[in-house]
Amino acid sequence: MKFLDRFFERSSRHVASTTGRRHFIAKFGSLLAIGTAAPVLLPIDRTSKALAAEAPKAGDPGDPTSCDYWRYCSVDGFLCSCCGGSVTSCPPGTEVSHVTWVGTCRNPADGIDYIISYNDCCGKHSCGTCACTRNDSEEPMYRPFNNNDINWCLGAESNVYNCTVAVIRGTAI
Amino acid sequence: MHSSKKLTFSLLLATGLISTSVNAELPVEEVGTTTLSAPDDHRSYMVDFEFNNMVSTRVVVVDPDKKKYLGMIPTGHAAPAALSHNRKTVYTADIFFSRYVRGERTDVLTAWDSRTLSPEWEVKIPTKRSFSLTERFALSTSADDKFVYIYNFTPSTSVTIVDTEKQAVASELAIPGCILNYPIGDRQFASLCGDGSIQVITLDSAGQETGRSVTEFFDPDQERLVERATHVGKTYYFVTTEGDVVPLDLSGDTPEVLPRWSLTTEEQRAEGWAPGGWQLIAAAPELNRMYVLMHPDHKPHKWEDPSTIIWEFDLKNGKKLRTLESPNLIWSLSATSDDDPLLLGTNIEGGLEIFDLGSGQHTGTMEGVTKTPTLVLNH
Repeated sequence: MKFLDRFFERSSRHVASTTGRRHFIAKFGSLLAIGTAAPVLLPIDRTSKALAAEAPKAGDPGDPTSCDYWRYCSVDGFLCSCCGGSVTSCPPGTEVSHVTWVGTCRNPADGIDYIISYNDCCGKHSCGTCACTRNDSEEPMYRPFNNNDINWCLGAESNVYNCTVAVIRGTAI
Repeated sequence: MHSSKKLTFSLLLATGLISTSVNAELPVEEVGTTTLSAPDDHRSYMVDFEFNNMVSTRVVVVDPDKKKYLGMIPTGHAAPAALSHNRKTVYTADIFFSRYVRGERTDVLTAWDSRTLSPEWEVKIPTKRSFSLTERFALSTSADDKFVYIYNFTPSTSVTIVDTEKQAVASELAIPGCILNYPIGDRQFASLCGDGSIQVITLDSAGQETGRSVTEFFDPDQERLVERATHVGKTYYFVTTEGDVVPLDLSGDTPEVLPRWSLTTEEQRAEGWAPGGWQLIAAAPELNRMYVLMHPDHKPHKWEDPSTIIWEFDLKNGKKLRTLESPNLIWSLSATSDDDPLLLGTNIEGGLEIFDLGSGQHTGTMEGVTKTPTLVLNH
């Protein structure tokens, strides 16, 4: 199968929900604080250079090397889980960009909408494996922080794009 | 030697002699480099984003009538490209790093000769050039070709103005909250803003700002307006993800939002018809018609997905005229500006789909000429 066929392929198991932008905007101001305070929610992960476990976790179902994984609902790029990194960790020798775009994805395990930051990993050219584009909560480019068509290697020493991680930053509810 | 062998030998000898006498020794040749003729009306430029290696990208130049690959322009880091109106120059806004993927970053505007496909000149520009899936209005030229406008995103937004006569940066203008540069005539460009307004900046002959207006355009809390517009003269056409066309007349002192119309009937919209793609609309100005990539089973998350179906509309009255179908999924459209126009579509396998708009027929596919084409540009 040609590269772009895979790029646009979406599985019938595509389950991530679309959360309305107005809903997202209305909640954005308080979501992070609520996210950290709510005890039943998943922890707020942070990108790091440490290796992260990729085994399925309770409450976090799915395969992080698959485009179907719930956190990838607004990803557009190469999945770092396939590129030597993990869902929260950049591949060896690349640098995480802390300037990023965010999407809102529903976790099928708990039905909660999570704010996901899609940090780009930078300093090497395209990983070229596990291309995945899903635009569930994407906005046009005039809302850049909800747009995944931009190379977000803006907060890294080199602006060259390698792959993308998907990090839980809080909840939208 | 047996008689049969003699016969065979004689025949072989005779064949060799005949062959030698017909095919005289080939002349000694000289090696050279091809120079193209001046671009005709249908010359097409495919912007290749090459997603698998965005460091080393290209613009592929083709003749869609002859289905011929004419040459290519190497570009740096998913460079946007724009064509001069006099057809002499192709501009690319390149990014280079001194160590391929690291080291010192240098951004340049490169001016390529459209006949030799060689660089004529370049100028260093602020190291802020936007790096995204290639946007048609991230790089544009003034109608008189004096200025080139380069969209910057750091994520602060601004536009670098290059004076092509002086081959120098004239200014950099901040456009906070707004994106891109939609050129208007000789000395103006518009930008689309996140609050739903359209901002127009006016320049003087030195490329300095002399005025700026902000006009309410659409409600971003109610709809998603796709920034990838098309235009006929100074009237720009945007579409919403739900299928409304929002025309904007930028010919006057202040922008005028013209009455909107729908690509679909209510029944069609209920059935799931809606636009989608990357450069999902294109206009053929001499026909005053617009072409839209349409999805029969649209969902909100498909707003950037390719399609094989193209609807043709009369821009005079918004009436749907024809349906064109491509054998392959198309992501971006462009139409030529002459009175016998072609419609070009980048297919998702790197090829170019070609339609004759007189007959409405698909005339062929140039397969595999690029890797990840994002745009087609025409003079």
